[in-house]
Amino acid sequence: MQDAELIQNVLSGNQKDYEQLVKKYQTNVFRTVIGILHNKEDAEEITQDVFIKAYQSLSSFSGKSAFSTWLYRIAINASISYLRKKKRRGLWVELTGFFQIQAKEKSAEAELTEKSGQHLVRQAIDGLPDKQKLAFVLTKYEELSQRQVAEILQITEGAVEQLVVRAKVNLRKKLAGVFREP
Amino acid sequence: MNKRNDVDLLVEQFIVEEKSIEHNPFLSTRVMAVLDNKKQQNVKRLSPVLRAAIVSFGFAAAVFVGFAAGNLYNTEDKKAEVVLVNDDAMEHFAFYKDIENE
Repeated sequence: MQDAELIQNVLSGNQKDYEQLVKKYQTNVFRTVIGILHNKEDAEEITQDVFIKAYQSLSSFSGKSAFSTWLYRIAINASISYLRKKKRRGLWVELTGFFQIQAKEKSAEAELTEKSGQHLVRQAIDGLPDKQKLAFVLTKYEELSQRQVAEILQITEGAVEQLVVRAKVNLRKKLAGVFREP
Repeated sequence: MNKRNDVDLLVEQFIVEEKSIEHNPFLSTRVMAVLDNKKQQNVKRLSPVLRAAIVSFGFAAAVFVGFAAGNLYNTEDKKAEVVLVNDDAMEHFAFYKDIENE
């Protein structure tokens, strides 16, 4: 069943059809949110909130853009607002044990270096300006086209390209210290 | 150049690892459960209104039953008793006659 048909069914009182929409887009929403928050539990909570908010305002969805575009916008707004709230409350928590490191035979030193490298990448992505971060996450995590990202962020395709390039340059600058020349 | 590639590789590796994190398989079930709960809460929110309506209806019914019961009271057959109770009234000799005839 097409999205529009499912939405119509949901609006006419068939709540069960909404589950199909949730199942169809939950991974996309989760991946986008985790790209912004970098924490599984928070990402699951926000993904849940995104689908609840979307359900509650489904009647306001005009259908001018794709349902997925609308959903991405809700996900981005929810994630950014969550980050701001968290920052305000001063609840920045060290996300120890976040990375699911596979059981491989690695030296303690190599493992430590890898962990700190990942930690620095996370910090570097988090340190990007909001627009650069969003363009970067949607391009890299969701592998969306420039046109799709432009539609979601409501900017031009050229602006998306610029934001992604700037994000990459900024990340390289921030992470340059990780690989010091001997 | 190598340094730049290393940084890009590190970022790519980080992204691949984050992308491999899977969400709870019951995420959609959880969403639907929350929506169901919210729906039930909305029904519960109506209950004070319903409760007020039920109380008002009960009060109106009690008043109606009171009036109806009051109207059932018939004074026509009670004249003799009223005469007996009211000391100012004339003696009702027919009543004594009836007693004597018993």
